[in-house]
Amino acid sequence: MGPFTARQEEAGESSGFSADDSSHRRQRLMVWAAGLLGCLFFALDLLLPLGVANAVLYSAVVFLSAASHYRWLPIVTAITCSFLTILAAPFSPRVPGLPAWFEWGNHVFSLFGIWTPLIFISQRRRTELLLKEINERLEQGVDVRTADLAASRLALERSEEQLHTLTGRILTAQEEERRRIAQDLHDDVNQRLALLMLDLQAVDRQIGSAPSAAQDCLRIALKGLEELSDDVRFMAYRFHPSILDDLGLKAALQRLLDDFASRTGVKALFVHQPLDHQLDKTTSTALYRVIQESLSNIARHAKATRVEVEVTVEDEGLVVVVRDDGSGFDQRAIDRAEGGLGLLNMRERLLSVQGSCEVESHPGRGTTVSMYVPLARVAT
Amino acid sequence: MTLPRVLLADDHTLVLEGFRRLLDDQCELVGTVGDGRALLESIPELKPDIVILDISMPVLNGIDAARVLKVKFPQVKVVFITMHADPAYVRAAFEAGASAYLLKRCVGEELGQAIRAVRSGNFYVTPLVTKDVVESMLRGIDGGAPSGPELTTRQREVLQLLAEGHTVKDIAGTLKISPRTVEFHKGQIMEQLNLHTTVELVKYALAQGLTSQT
Repeated sequence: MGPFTARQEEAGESSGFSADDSSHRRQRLMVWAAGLLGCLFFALDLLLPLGVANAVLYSAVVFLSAASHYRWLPIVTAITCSFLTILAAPFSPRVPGLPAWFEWGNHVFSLFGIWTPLIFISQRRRTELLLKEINERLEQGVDVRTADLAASRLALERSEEQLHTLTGRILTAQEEERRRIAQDLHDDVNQRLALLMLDLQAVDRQIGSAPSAAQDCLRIALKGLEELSDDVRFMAYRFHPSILDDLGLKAALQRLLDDFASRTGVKALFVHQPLDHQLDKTTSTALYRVIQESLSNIARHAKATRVEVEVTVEDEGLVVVVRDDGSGFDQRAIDRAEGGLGLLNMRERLLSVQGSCEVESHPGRGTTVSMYVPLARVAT
Repeated sequence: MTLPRVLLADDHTLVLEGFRRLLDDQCELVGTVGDGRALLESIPELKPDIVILDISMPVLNGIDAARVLKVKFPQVKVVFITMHADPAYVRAAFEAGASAYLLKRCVGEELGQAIRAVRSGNFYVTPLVTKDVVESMLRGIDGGAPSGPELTTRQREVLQLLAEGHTVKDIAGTLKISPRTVEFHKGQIMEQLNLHTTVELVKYALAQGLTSQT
């Protein structure tokens, strides 16, 4: 009876007007049925000796009325049935030879039969209400927690986004700074060194061709200056390869691979599709750095004999593949360990120019790093 | 021979000063400018015979300026004097139409010789970089020259599929790249292997045992 009512309520709430209507009709039908049954039992009580319609039968009417939605119905039914029982007591036919107390006892027992189920039903109702309340409170709690969760996920996403922006900004700032230092070294310090050398060469010419101690000293100084100038140039290159700004990504990569090959003895193949679009400085620098990082990883870990760098144009973007034939690694291990840091750095760098990066590797079968940057970026 | 009219372009005033002293007795200095755009704008007015310029300059760098200059004023000779000893720069400079390439540190000794060479229609490259230039030329990696018969993994994939008779479109679909890129690889392979027709390409692949068909 409990679950039955609950289901009815649910149906009434969820499935709109017509269901509500039919449920009402059923309720009314139930009231009529209870009334009819009551009348029937009353008639039986009057007609048959010993009050056949007592106890069990009347309690059935009470149970039936309890199944209805109307809270008042069971009580009204119980009161009516009690009244009918009492009313029928003096009029119902007697069984000859049976003492009067037996009949009266029978009627009192009927009253018990009518009211006991009611107590049981009301207790049941109360428990049900309590359960419903607890349920509602639980649902409310779940709703609140779900909202909390959604909010914190949003916050997490936002902070992740901020982190990416910040990382991008840091990387750009760092790159800017390095570019500036390189420029200072190259364009200022080195130019002055060159001029100094010119001046000293002029002095050298004025001293004349006769060998002298002064000239020897001058030559040594000049040689020192030349070495210093070379060192400064190399320092500037390490900070930021000006070739990237002056001659573009292709020339810079060629130089990078050239240096890599002569430094490590690894054979380097370079394939570069001509570009229709001009890459802006930030994007080409990001690509350059990531390729540089891949190459330095290869030099440090891969034990490769061959490296391939391919730059191709795909629809909207530039695809760069760096492939080596080295020892490779277990990708899952790298994802777990701190070895992922260099990879993270590469990803962040490309992310800062809306690009992406994928690494594929298997132990003993080399490593392939694939990068992508969109080409539609407006040059800055 | 009259003194050549020279226009100097460098964004370092110190350098301009230094060069002015050096150039005094060898040519007629008609002006100095600080960047590539100013250089291009001042040529019609100053009418130089020779332009001496640096590569790293603000607004418009020397290479790009030289490229435009040689299109607009082909009779003007271009001489680069720069800090860059990298062969890639040397190559880029001559591709842009340069007649001479010098390093700043050797200008005192070589400028006169370079100007003479340029005026008589020859080229001049400072001996300080010739070693690197020649080496890179021999290596063939630098400057976009074909890097020899060795193919990359992707190139071999493309070659094999071509040799097996697949169309460019099919190959693009198989390798998940654009047909244009397949065409690029095909052209690049043919250039690298010094082949001229698709038939030659297929023959090469067969000879190398690259196809899976027997």
